[in-house]
Amino acid sequence: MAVELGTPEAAAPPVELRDVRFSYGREEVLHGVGLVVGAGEICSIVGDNGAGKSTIARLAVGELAPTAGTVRLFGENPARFGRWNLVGYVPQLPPEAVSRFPATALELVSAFQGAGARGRRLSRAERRERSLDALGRVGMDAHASRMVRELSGGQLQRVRLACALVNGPGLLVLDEPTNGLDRESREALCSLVASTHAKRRLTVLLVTHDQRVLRSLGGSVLLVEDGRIVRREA
Amino acid sequence: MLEFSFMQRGLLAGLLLGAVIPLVGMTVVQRRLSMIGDALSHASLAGVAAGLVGGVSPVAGAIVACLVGSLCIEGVRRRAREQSELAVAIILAAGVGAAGVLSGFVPNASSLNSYMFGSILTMSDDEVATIVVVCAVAVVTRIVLRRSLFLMSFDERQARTAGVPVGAVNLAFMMVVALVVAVASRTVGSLIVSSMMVVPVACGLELARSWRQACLLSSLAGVLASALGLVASYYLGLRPGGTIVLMAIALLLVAFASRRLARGA
Repeated sequence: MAVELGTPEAAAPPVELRDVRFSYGREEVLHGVGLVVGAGEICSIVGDNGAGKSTIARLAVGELAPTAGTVRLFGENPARFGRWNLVGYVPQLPPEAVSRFPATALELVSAFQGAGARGRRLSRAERRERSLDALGRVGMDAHASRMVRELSGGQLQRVRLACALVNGPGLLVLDEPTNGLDRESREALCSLVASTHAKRRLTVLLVTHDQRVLRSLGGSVLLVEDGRIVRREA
Repeated sequence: MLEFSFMQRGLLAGLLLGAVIPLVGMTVVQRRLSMIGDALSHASLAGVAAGLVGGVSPVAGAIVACLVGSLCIEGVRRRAREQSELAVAIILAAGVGAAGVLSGFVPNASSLNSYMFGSILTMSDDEVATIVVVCAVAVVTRIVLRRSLFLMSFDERQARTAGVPVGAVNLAFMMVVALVVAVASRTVGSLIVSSMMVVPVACGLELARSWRQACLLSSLAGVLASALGLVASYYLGLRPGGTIVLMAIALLLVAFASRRLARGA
């Protein structure tokens, strides 16, 4: 079932999957998934563990290649995509992945600056200024010089959101961004995503199993079951 | 001590490798591939043995074996990332097996022994020159790829969508690791080089308050361990490779203690 969201526009949609199949080894986990997310839309993918929702997000950003079907990112094959400044991606990250990582929040956001951007390279001062600005937008500028391994789960997710937003992307892909967060952190993160979407007409592709996140962000909701999109709700 | 040319060569090689091995090791440790040093050093031992049997330069044999080993590990990592630990362990086993078999054909067993535990004080000018070139290549690669390696150390998946050509960077980095391990096997020894890839990095991680500091402190710990190890081995008549590693461990204990003191203050 191909699911079209919103009104088609002249520009290529940020995310487009046509009859996509994907297998881990011999086991096919997606069976002909179709999905188009237009500019400025919020699309949430929900489903049980193992239903294939994260795989859809990973295919959308080219992290995985489909075994059949077509994936387009802003109208281009993700394998040959070069405009990564248009894409902000926050994949799942196990807590132990940052437990030894010796970098400050500012260093991390700075490193994501200029991803795939064409044109002149930014000076160190400009990078610092823009990184601090990105951290300020997620309310983390006061923690810029703190080590990321010392941040709480909610603070770390906000820093990762700043990394994803620092280049002013047109598409934000979030894979279970509220996993392990308490209520306050979850609400703060949802509020940040909602306000960024409203300000910049940002396209958001969200993978979640948390109904409370769906309620606070709105947009379209796709239910995935056994590797198929079985329902769409607005 | 410095009036002897063998000590001058040994110090130059030791200090260079002391600075460069942890610089490479920082990325290796952050990417949870600490066993790669072990695997490649054992592969290098097989290369050394092959070189000694074949009558060619043992260091050249070590370089070839390490490059082949790193290509195998990277090949498996590309096909199945979750199998990368297994790939590292298999290369380690293959290296041990090949070295064990080939050692039976080595004409002079003591020459192989010098590569197992290092022989930094018997290096020729050409060998020191090779180390200088490899260290320069490693430092330049580390500088050119610093942003990519930093992002990949944090999260390879996010790095990919930050425009990092992950496959190419991985390959280039693995080649550099292979070269560094191969030339270091002659100095600190095949069985010890992986320790120098991890222990000084642990010192840096213990004390650093940023990525830049962690890299600098790791290299500094490596340099200090090499210098102290060489001086101690000269005056106490100890084997240099093992002494360098024990100095690195001592520095790590100092780092642990100073961090604990700082917390308590």
